[in-house]
Amino acid sequence: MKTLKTNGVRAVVAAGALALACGLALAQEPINIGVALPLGGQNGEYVKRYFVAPTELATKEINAAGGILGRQVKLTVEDARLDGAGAVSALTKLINVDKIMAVFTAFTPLTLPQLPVAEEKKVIVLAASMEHPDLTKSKWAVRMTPTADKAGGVIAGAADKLGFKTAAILTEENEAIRISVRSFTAAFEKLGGKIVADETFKTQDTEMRGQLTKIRAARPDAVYVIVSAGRLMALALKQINESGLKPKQIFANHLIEDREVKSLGGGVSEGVIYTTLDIDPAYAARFKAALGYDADANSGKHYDSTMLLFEAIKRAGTDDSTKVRDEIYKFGEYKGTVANFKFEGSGEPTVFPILKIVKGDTFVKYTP
Amino acid sequence: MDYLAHLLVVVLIYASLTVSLDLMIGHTGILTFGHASFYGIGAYATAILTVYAGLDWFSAMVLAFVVGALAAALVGIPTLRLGGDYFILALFGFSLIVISLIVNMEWLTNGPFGIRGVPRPSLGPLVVQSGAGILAFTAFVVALIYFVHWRFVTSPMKAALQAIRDDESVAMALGIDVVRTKIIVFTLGGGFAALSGALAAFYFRFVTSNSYGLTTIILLWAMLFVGGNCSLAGSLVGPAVLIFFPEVFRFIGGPGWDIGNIQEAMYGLLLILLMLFRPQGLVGQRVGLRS
Amino acid sequence: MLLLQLFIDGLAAGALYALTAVGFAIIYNGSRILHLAHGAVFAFGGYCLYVLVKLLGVPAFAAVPIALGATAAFGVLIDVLVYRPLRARNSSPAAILIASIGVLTLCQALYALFFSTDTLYLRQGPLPTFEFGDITITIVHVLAALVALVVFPALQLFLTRTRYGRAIRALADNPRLAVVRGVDIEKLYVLIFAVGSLLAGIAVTLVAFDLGVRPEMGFPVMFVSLVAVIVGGVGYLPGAAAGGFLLGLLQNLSLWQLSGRWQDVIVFGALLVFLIFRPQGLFGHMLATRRV
Repeated sequence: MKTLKTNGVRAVVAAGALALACGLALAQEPINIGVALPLGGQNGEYVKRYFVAPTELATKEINAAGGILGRQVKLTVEDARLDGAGAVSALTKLINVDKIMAVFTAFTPLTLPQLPVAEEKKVIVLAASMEHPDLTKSKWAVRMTPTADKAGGVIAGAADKLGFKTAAILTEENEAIRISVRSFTAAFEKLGGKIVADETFKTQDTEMRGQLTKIRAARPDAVYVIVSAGRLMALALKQINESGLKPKQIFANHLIEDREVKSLGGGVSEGVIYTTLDIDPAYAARFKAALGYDADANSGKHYDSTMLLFEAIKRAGTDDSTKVRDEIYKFGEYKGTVANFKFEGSGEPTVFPILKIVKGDTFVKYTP
Repeated sequence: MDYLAHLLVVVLIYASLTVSLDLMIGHTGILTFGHASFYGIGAYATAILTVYAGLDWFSAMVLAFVVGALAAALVGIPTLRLGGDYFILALFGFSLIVISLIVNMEWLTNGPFGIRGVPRPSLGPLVVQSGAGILAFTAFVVALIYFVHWRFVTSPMKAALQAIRDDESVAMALGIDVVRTKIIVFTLGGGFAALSGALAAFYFRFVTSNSYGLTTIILLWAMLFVGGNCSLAGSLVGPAVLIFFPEVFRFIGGPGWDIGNIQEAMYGLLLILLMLFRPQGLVGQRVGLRS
Repeated sequence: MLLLQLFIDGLAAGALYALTAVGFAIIYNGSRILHLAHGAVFAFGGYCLYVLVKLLGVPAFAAVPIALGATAAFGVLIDVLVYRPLRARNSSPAAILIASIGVLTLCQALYALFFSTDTLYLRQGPLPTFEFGDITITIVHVLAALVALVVFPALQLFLTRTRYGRAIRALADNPRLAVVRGVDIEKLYVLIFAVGSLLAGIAVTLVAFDLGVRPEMGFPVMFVSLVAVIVGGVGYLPGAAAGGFLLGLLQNLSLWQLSGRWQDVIVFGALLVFLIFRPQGLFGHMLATRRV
């Protein structure tokens, strides 16, 4: 009798200890997420500072606060090299070796090839700053920025309110940018405006004087410049100035805030009105304190998408990617550091860009 | 493991490109910068035919080969009769025009945006799956490509090709129609490069212009010479080394290391050192690289 | 007015291409080496200027000659470290070409590692401009014109009137005969690379103050220089210069009717057309038969 009871107690204690050990082991298992972005090449510096660093910051913050569901978050960063093949390679390694349940990425030619792979393996793709509409055709993708067409409409409205009748467009050859151009053209013409010139240049170009000469000949009231890299924005502004083109107003997209424009200096960006998202000052301060340089809208998008993922994991109560994805899609309103994003049934949030204007060294909110 | 399968597929595709490049450079002495362009033409042809024209994968693949061969013939016929340096420059220019055309002919190629949704090969209702499936398919096609090349370079043609490579005037004196032979080899090379392009299209299910430009052709040349020219084994060794080696970097290398540029620096250094100390590469032959 | 402005822009671009093309051509004609690493030498000059002007605070008028000297030296260094050993080993043109690509790739990566891939500006803001009615020209336009007017005649004098210049031409015409006549070939190679690289240094000075410096800056200029050499006629230096100007004009004037996206196609289309229908280039008939 006594032996049985002792054995029984021993068994229970053993079972309890085993359960506790298992529970502890499970609790220590980290939540795995990954970043697949081009860390080298022309945009490498920018990507590391404004796309990767915010996700790393968010991860650090959440881990310092105890992690999610009692588990730490493990972030692995992979170099997507410079083309779709490199991006797929990075993603495949992250999925197979690091066992991620979500990946942070960007850039249309890098993200789109990753989608079929991510879908097969049920990995959530958060391409926060990617503007191409086709992203959210995938049931595993999440965006954290207005789509390319929204900016065009906002600028057209501003141009009209400011009384401009003619506009010239100077843009980089790029899919998402082309969509902005189309929406701007449609909106501006609907408001009675006229597009008098539509010139493009390539990502590798080192000058656009010829294009500017043609624009100058068309005598536009306003010039709208859209690019995807700071170098090109700096080049465009500089050569607009040098070409003798003196429009009443220059419009641009958020690349006007890029440090290459700052590094060029000379006041070329003074008075330019552009579309961007507003940055929460508390986040900006935290960012600056942690990383030593100023935050920009893109950094906010990537930070927000990271935090959104963490919130969704919390809500789902698990890191099972299907459940987390569902939580994101039905999240409702997420108050991010750069905007309020509304997710209502898909990975496409409802969010609109705002207007800002360059005043000396600062960027100020603008209403026409 | 899917990651390993992915790397193997990439190595195989590059191996198939290197073996056809070797046929031209290593065996025949045609120093072509255009190989990546025919690769791109094949990939785009496959994508356009399957996604836009709704053709089945097999026909698309065959047609891609034909399109690549035709393009090579078109380029080769006028340029192969030019002397060495002119030919090199012409193909250099050609490779840049092709990229420009791909990017600008949007109605056909969707411009810089690329074409998505290329289907995987299938046999009736059975679709080739990711991982082991596509690896097996790619390996099968690449093996066929190797077989054809092996037959070619063990045939009597080999002597003619090497005569052309080593000394064209002697070859002509021997009665070999140098220009015609070069055109044939170049056309075949273009066709096979296009076939490799089809394989890439099936694997990635996406084609875009930035994969077929200068960096790729430099990579192909590096793969050829690291492995060793005029060697079937070399055309497999070169890609294996140059694909696996950088992947190792993913596991070492600290944060903040600019891996991409470190790698490029190593490629450059590797090419220089190879030419100085071991121009025959790892397993190739010391032919064509010494006067 | 539009056309005139495009024409002027074309001349300025042409001057830049012409300088680089002639530099490349001197090296190619004299050594038969397709020195693709010339683009890396070009960029080296740019980074020298950046280091001197921005990091060390040297005033421009002093920095430019120093940078020019350094660039010429760098070109010679490449020859001595890479091409000379290859020549000693009897390496074929293919091997030398691959080594040249290796040098270009290595240099570009090193620039990116040391200076980052950002564009580094040497001065702030846009260039000073001069307006004449509807025509606007920048200071770079003016400098390019001045440089071209000074450099090309000076080069011509050097090649025709000086002992070294004539030696270079002798080497270009007939290397074997030059050796037989007791010309020290390796010394001549040094001279060839020095002069060619110096021209690249002059060209990059025009670009660096205007557009800043970045690792890949040598690439676009190299391409067009190659085309210029062919179009002008391989082996004939003034032809290379003419080719450079022609392409600069072609690129800019084409914008009159076509969109900017077709510029590359036009330039390289011109290349192919010449290669197929007139491989001796525009001025090929100016030369005796050249060994191709």
